[in-house]
This record gives sequence, structure tokens and C-alpha cells, in this order.
Amino acid sequence: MGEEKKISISGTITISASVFESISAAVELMPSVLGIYIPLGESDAIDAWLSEMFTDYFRMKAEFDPTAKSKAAASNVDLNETNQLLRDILRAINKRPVGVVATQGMMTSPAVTQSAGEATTSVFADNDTSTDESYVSPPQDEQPAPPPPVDINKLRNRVGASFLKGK
Amino acid sequence: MELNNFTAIKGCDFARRNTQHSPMFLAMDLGSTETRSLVFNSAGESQGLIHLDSNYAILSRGIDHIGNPDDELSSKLEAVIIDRTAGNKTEAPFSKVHVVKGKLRNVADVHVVNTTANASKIDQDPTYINCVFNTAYMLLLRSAAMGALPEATVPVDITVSMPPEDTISQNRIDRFKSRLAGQYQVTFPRLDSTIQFEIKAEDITVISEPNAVAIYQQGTDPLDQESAFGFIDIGGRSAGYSFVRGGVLLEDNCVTEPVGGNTMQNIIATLVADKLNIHRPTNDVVNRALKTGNIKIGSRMIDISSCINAAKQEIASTLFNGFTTAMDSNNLQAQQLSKIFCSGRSFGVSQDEGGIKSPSLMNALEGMFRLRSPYTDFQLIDSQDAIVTGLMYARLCAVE
Repeated sequence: MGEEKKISISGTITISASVFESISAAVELMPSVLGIYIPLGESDAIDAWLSEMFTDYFRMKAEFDPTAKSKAAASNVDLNETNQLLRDILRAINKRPVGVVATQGMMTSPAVTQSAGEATTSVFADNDTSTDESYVSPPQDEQPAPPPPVDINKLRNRVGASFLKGK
Repeated sequence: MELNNFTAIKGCDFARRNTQHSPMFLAMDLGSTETRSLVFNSAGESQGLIHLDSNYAILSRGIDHIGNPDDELSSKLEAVIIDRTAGNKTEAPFSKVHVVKGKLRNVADVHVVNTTANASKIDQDPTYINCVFNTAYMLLLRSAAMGALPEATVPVDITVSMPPEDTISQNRIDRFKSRLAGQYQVTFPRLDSTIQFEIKAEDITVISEPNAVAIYQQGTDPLDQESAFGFIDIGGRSAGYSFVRGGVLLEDNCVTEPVGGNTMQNIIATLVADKLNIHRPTNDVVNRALKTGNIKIGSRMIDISSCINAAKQEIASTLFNGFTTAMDSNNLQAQQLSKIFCSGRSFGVSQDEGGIKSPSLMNALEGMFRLRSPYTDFQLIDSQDAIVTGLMYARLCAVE
């Protein structure tokens, strides 16, 4: 499994070096990406590092919590937990909030999604609660500051009759 | 005096009256989505800037049974507006209307009125209702900041922006002035206050939106007198162009492009519906997708950056064609322009939250323009208040 890396989230999670490198590489390739879509079961490579990561994660968790999922359960991961874990790890690596979507299986169309009846979660939903259709003005504490005072003479020199003569 | 000091305003005794109210200078950017109003004085001091949604609802029934959503002033924006001079007008937009705006409008189950790009703003009654409502609101804030409401009618000097199609003809400007000018009484029942003000036709100044942006730029950071510059302003429902050459603001292109941020939303919604075989997503959903490149459908988050890119290309193409036509009518070659300034929220969208899945509309436009003139720079005007500040600059320069 190679050298282990420790990253501090809420506590410490130990992940293998290869998993760490994979995530770091992904983050490096897409430094500003807010969301990373990870389709479980779509790619052997992704599956490999995900399962490796979860193996570590659940092993560690099982050591402290006998009721937690065992290493064997890693093949049938809880997506809520997956998303939270990925988000925490990416946030720790990337030092800023990120969004992650992990889903099971290919997502080609909503029809496929619905017929499969899969459990899916999205951390994007954190900020995705508004159903309001119409625009409403910003609240009082978010109103902009008025422009600074203007030197009338300077302004007239700049935007005087000569500037406006083409009107 | 600071209108944006809402704490002081909340403590104002609206029953107090005094006569110390000087005329109010007001600049107003009447956008299709949002109206930006700026109160200033003749000394060049801006006293308050407020963004308020342009949407409103006209009430045909009382909504007293609906409580205020919260304690903010903007949550109590119910007003009865009376135009005392409506009987003297040949085309009065209204004589009495009962209007609700802001959060209160949101919680009341009422039909929302928008402006549209299908007709000129001068021809639309919502333009006048919005203008008068916002004037009353700004006067109310100013009065509260002064500690008392005006005892008499307050003269208002107002400078407003319009799309170029409305400012290219003096007849249309005169029509706007004749419809807006009047004596108004506005009662805010939830604030226990009534104010009166008068707008005279000679105290109304109308400036095109892209020209106001050019004036803002010239007033803030003067343009090189040896060069030519282009200005493209895109709003919610339309866009306009303007040019400065040799230190002189040139005439507008008389055509207003009927494309804006809302057009982009509509195109994206259609493309997404087609691609994913779903109903058209709502504007609210599309707006959020514009920031992340993803759209939440049911329980899924789906990447729609290809739809966003396609929509931006389509809008950029329309703007590019219109802009090049406007250059022709001003006898300008593309390579003469040293810089093109882009203003309006839609130009920079997708960069607001650091997303990179879709280049901005300005980048798409820049890519097209580079084929004509590889040495012309593009610059995004960051300020959302460029138009309203430009209006203030223009009015200050004319104050004697």
C-alpha cells in the first residue's frame, strides 16, 4: 500500500500514499473545480483508489467503533458517507471548500437514473435549497456602499462639454 | 447623512415633519431585473445607494393579513401611489396603484409584473411605476436619515438611463418626460408614512445605458484621447453599444439588441431540456447552474457546461454582429479600438464563485473579436453600479 499519509480533517484520517496522490493530482489538474463527479463503478482506476481509500477509512473507523462498517463493507459503500469523506479530504488537501458528487453507476440520463432507483447524495445540496423563482433585492446589510465624493471641477474637466459634444 | 444607515432609519419617528427638505438629486438605473437608485447632492457627495428588485405586484385586494417577513425596511414595501396630475396628462401610465415589492411581494400570493424587451421601456407602464416607487423609497430613506418626513412637496431632479433605442429620438425622450413628470403622493401603510414629491419635465435627464457606462469610465479613469474605445452594456433583457473616439463620446447605435442575461437563461434552459429530456429548468435553477456548471435535477447533479458554453456562444455571436454593425455606423474599424469595456453582470458570470467549467461571456466575445482585431483589449467593468454612477457624473457636470 506504500507510505501512509495523514491529513487532518476533524481528527485524523489515514489514507495510503497512492490514494493521496490520486486525489492531489485530480485537484491539481482542476484547481478551481468546485465539484468533482465520481461515478462509482464506471472506471476500474477510480474504483481501485476509492476502495483502497475506503478500506483504510473503514478499517480505521472499525478500530474505534465496533458497530461501524467493517472492511468488507467497503465494497458496498454508503454514499452519504462517501460524499462527506471525499469532501473532507478534498477540502483538507485543497484548503478550501469543494463540492463532490459520488454516484453509483453511469449517469447518462435522468430516465436511467430513475429506473435504476439508486441512492444518491450530493453535497452541492448544501447551498441548493432555494426554490424561489423571482429575484429579490439584497438585504440591508448587503446593500452596496455609495460611490466616494467627487471633485466637481476634476469631473467637469474629464466629462465636460468636449467629451459630450458628440452626443 | 447616510441613507444606507438603516439602524438610524429604523429609529426615525415618521410622525415628525419639518420643512428643511432641499430638492433631491436622484440617479436611477432602471434595469429589467434590478433598479439601482443613488441620491446625491450638487456638491458631488453621494448620500445613499440602494439596489431594489424591479419586479413588483399590483394589488387588487388588501394584504393586511400577511405579516412582514422580517424587520427590514425592504420587507415592508407596500405602497399606494397616487399621481395627482394624471388627469392633466394625455398618456398617464396610472392614476392610482397599490404596489408591493421585495420580500413582502414574495410571501404574498400575487402576480408579478416585469418589464419586457418586446417593447421599449418608454412604452411600458412598469417603467413609470417602478421609477415613481423607487423615487418615493429613496425620499423616504433620505427623510428618515434627516430625522423627519417633509412637510411639503419635495422637488426631485432625476437622471435615468434607458436603452439606446429610447434615447436616440428626442420625441421619445419628450414622451417619457411628459409621462413621468407629475406630482405624486405615496403612502407606505406598513411604515405609517406618506410623502409627496414633484418631478418637473425640465428636471428629468435621460441618458442611454452604454453612454452612462462610458461617462462612468471617463469620470473614474480618463480614456486616452488619442484612441478609440467601445462600450458594451448588457442588462437583463437587452444590450447596447457606445463608442468614444478622440476624447469624444459618439452617438449610440440606434438599435438595442434584444438579448440579455435572461435570454441566456432561456437558451440554457432549452438546451438542458433537450439534452436531458426533461422539462425546462426554472430560471432560478439555471442561475445557480451558471455559477457551478452543474444543474441539480431531482437527486442528481449533472454537468451542463456544454449547454452553458453553447448559450454564451450564441449570445456572444449576436452581440458581435450588433457591435460590428454599430462600428460601421460610427465609421470605426475594429482595429481602431484599443479597448472594449464590457459592463453588466452577464459578462462575468461563471467567475463569480471561481468555477472554470465555462468561460465568461466576455471571453467568448473576445475570442470572436480577436479574429478581426488581435490587438484590441477587453476589460470587464467590475462595478455593478457603473451606470448609476455615470448618471450622477453626467448630472453633476450639468449642474450650474
